[in-house]
Amino acid sequence: MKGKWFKVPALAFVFMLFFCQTVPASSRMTEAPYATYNVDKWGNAVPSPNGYLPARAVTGFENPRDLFYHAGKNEIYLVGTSGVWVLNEQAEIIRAIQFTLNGEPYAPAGLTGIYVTPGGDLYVCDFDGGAVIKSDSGGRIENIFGAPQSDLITRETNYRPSKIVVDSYGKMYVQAFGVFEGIYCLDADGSFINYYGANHVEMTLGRLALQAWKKIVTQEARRKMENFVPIEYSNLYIDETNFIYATVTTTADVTSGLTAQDIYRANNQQLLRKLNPLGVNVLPKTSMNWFQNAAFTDVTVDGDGVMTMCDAVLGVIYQCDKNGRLMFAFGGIGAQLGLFSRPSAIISVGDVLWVLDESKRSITLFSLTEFGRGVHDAMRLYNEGRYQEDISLWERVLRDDANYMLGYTGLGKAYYQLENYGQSLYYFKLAGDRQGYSDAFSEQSLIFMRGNFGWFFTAALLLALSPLMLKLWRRFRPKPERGGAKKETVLTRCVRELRFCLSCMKNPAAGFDAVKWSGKGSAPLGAAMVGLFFLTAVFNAQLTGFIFNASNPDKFSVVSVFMVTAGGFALVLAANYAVSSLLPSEATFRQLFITLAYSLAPYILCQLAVIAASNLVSAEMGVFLQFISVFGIGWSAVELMMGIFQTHRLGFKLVVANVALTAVGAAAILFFIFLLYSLFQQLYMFFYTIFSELMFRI
Amino acid sequence: MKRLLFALLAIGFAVSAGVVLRRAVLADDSAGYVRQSDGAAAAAGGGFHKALEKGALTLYADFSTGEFYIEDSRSGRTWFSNPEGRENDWGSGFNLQLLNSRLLIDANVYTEPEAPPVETRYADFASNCTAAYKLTDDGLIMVYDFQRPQIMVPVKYSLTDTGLTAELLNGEVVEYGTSRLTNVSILPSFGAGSPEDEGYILIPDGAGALIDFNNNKSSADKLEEADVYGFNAGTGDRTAASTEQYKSKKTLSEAVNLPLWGVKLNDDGYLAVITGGAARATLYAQSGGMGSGFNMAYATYAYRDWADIRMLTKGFEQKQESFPEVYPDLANNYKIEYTFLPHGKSDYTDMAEAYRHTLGLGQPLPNTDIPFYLDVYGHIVKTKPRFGIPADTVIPTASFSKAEAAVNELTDLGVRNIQLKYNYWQRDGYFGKLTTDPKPLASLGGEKGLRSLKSTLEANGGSLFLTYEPLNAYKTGGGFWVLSDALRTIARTPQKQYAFSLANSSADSRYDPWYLVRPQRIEKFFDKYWGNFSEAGYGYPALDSIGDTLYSELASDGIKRDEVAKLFASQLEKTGGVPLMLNGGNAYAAVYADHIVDAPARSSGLDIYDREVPFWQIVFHGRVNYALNAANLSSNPGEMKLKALETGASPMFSWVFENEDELIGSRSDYLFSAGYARWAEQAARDYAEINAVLSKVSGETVTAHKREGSISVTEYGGRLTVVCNYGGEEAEYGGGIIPAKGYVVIE
Repeated sequence: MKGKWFKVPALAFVFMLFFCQTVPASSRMTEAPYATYNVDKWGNAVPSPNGYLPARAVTGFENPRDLFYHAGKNEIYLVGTSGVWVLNEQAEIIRAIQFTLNGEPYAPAGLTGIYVTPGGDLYVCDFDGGAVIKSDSGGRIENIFGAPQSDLITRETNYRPSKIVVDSYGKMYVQAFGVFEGIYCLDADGSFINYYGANHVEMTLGRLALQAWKKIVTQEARRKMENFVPIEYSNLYIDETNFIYATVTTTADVTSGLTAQDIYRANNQQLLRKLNPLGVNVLPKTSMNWFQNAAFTDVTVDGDGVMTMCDAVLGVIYQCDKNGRLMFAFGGIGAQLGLFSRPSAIISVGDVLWVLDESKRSITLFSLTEFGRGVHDAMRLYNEGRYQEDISLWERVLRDDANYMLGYTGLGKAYYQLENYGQSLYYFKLAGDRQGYSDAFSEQSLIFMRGNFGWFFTAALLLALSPLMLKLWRRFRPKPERGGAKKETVLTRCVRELRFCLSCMKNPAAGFDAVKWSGKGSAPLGAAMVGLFFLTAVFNAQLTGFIFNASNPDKFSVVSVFMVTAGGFALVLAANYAVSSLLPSEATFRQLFITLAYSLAPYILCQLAVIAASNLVSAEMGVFLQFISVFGIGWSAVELMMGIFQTHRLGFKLVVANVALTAVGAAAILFFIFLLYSLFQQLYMFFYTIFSELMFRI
Repeated sequence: MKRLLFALLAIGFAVSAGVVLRRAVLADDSAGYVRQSDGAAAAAGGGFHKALEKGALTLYADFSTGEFYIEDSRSGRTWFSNPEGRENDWGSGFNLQLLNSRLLIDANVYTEPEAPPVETRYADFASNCTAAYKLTDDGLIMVYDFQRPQIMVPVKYSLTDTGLTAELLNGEVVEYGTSRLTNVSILPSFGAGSPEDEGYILIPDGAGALIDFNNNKSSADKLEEADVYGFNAGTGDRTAASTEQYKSKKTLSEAVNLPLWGVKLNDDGYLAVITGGAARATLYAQSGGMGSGFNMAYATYAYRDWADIRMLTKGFEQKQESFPEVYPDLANNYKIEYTFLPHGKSDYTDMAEAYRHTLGLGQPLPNTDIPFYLDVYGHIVKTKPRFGIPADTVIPTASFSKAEAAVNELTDLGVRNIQLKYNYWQRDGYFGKLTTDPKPLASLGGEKGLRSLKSTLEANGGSLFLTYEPLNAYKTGGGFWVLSDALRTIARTPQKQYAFSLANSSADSRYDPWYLVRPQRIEKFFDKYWGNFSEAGYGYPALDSIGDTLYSELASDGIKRDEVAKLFASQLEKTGGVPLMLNGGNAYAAVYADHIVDAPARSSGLDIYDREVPFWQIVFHGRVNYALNAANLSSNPGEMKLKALETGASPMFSWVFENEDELIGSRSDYLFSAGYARWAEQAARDYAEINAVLSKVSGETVTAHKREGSISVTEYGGRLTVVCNYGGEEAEYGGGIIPAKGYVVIE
């Protein structure tokens, strides 16, 4: 079998894509009309057993808008635009709530959201009526809260309360349509306290630059770059500890002229938030990278912190653990049981997920499968701290789904808690969990250090004494006989050239001066340096410690690394040589080559040190490794500048011009290569079009 | 120049003269057709006249419109071409057309010069359609002349001993204008159920599903475009353009495996089997309340199928365009055979009985040990760096000796009749070239290992099936050339197939696109392979794809879909004499199989359906051995046992024996729970339990079946009943207690 690189599939693929039909591969269903998936450590969607299967759908509701599950009473509240119904666990309507105000029947204008307190009081959002209605469990209205009043509320839009939650102190959190500042946090008497869950603006370099830029641009453009990052929530869920889980929607903001896309970009990766009582999102941003272009409409959370969201764009239900790691993704858009038209509310009633579809006017009940139960049980045991039992549960999950990354993480964490760091490291590595791996690694290194303290102490002592010993050795070593110069062998020559290369590092000015005027430096060693540069890149991909190594070993291709390193070097060399012929330069090609190649030495040395060190330190030390890396690059850059200065014999300005032009030249060469490529592509497309047109006409 | 103009004029004249002549030939009474306005028909008078009679059936027709009714003297039931009481119905627009027409057509019509044609619907009862009739020895031919699109469509009705046959005379359709006929729906409201009737519509979607009469669902739930035998890959990609469809690439569905539908109407009912042109038919159904008060099901025949291709505009932008086929299929008349079921015996089990009769399935199987399907995956190929260069690497996942050891172990555990399906047993078998020369992979143990496995299996009472993929060519080479051998679009460009990402319905960049084999070339490759395979005698053939994939080529030199189905059948016939295993349950192939794995286990669960029934299984049980999906890859493995008992299916397990970890990140990553060690004992236990029940009735048909909530009841051969409870709590049935997730056998 020939290697992949040998073919040119990538090239051909790009061309053919324009002409070929995309046809779904076999898409037969076995259990459900969707293929439940998970993500592997490289971010690919991989098949998974179903965690939930659709049990049945109940249809025929009148304009349903929201669901609420009251665990204490074991009742489900269904909100339609015209009223509230109470359902039992079988999704049968037990009773309707008749709202009365002072004994008179009261008809809300158009309801969209509901919250029921543990005591049974109802808070419903009358979206069209612009009010929040508070009633007792029998529907007797106790209060009607109109639009909140405050100097902070500047928008002149109508008050359109859409969703509501109430915390244990009676504070109301109201999400209103068209409000981009955050959630209205209202006191029990309906007075405005503040905007809750607003986007916090972090002062970064980029933002400082933006502020400077704002001073220059037009009024309208400035408006678009307003300091506040707009956010509009779509739904809320509150847990017993008064943490609020909120989903973010991305409709356009007419007032500030921001498009949905602007808002999406501003809130990307934070479309689901877990807000602490201060309104700050405590979910790690990085863990939420598994959804794409989602428009979450609701979220529900179970006792273990497992969050389940529904997405109206792809009709997908996502379930993730309390840290935001994906457990199951399933569902889709379609006219089949288990698919949706527009999922708009979700609740978990025990093990059963209820998903309300606004457009199908139905509630679909999803029941947990045997596999799903296994995952949930394992997660629960971990939360309860029963790590030893947890291990066997996670092992069973992995036997049922070897692709289940969360299982490996789970084992890694359980073993970590049991202080079995060897096993923990193994599973964290399988899961691709670098933070977990790093934590276990720190612990293990600590244990190793403690166990071998004597050795470390001796080594440290020897290291401390080494300068002294070196001095002693220098003084007492047998002096070589003077005179009678030894005949130079290949070895001694190599050593001599290498020492020269190193001296160029230490003193580039003198070194490259010698290259220029004394013919010093060796082209073969230069070539060896380029080779070493290439090898360093290979080592970087292959030998860097797991914590710092994001490359996929299965995808590694020495050829592409060679193209990037040696090819890149050749490109820069060619560009520099070309530029030199334009500028008043005295450099020969050999001198240029040696200069460029020798300048790589600091980078190579530092990078090799980083690679070695990356296997010995934990993630917290990453910044030091980065520092060494940057230091190496900086040193190389300085050496290169000095080299160019010396070999070309140019003034400072011209050196700068030389470097800049070299960059431009290299870019130009690349541009021409791409131009040729795309010309070829156009030509190919042209002939292919003619060909297919002919085939079609004949 | 003048000469050219003259020539063109001459050709134009000749063509129009030909058309006029042809129309004259068909429409004139010289061919025996009578128009209502003509003397003869006027003499007969308006209203209904006895037209046909056979056995217990008499057909009365109104020759002016083609409306008719059939009296069945056995049941006393009258079947109407259009439902009684439709005058008072509230339906409008298209629904009104459905209720009142015998024939609905779609035609691609040029409405304005220079503008592209528009597909438009016409009904036979509209004022611009005239009907002529002819009575022949065996039937009544109605010719409908649609003056607006200028198309004449002849339909022939005849009676059989048990029902009615309606046939479109494909060859005699005349398009005397520029319009082209695309779709034909015959008798869309035949035997429709009124709002007062009780009953259901059977749709053989996957395993099968029922639509209750008057089920109070929304008109958005109507069953539309349920293609018989599923998606035709030759029609291109209907999904690329619209967002709505684009999303649906993510979703899965079952296909209509059997070319039929059934209607139960109070105590009567009919089964309609499409016996001609089935592969171009699409099922439609609606329950009362969805646009009209009536419950009806019908099929639409694609006289010309549409193909979608992506084209480049002048500005090199992609554009989706649809084209109808140039030539219709004149070799296969579209034909529906309606069978009127006996009074009081019109349940879906009775429909299955009637269909079994139509299919002419073979002898009953003996009542012995049921098969245990062992689905083994021999190897995978993964790209791994070799000396730093990525290269395809073969990783064995089930060597022949390991499989042999497993067979021995299972035999010791009491498993009999092991039918082993060996996938990826040969070189290029794993998403590779189209092999014509079968050779057991050396790294799995070579020919010697395979023969040893075969004899071990035979000692167990089982047999060895070796998988071959005859339709999908994942790599070129081995005699397969893209330009000559790959399936083409209507524009004759090669049609690529893509694997899709599970997350976002875009093509999965990890896998290269591949091709389907051109129908014209299938026989060439299959004959070569089959010759070599039968000569080598390694085992029996297990053919993938043929049982659930049917496509055609729509270009003018292509092969029509019904012809491809026949082609598949003729290939399968070649294997006659040795047992044959197939995947999936499409009717054209299933009748040739001895074993069917991955038989449809579910329906697509469309919103319009009210219940799911194992109709497919009821048809085939006792005649063909089958297994549903593998139990170990199910999310509810415990439920698979109940499912097997309910549907009469044999258990199947998909396994590997080594290098399990390597499956992660490979193209076989869907085998996420295929470790043999985890499942061996459970598999043996499940088999013993299922076999204890089903071995007694493995040759019997299913005589009754019903589902009530989480309870299912299946009666085999009228003497053994299995009651399964899928619920989490114990339930009561017929006075007995059925344990939670358990079953009870009543003999």
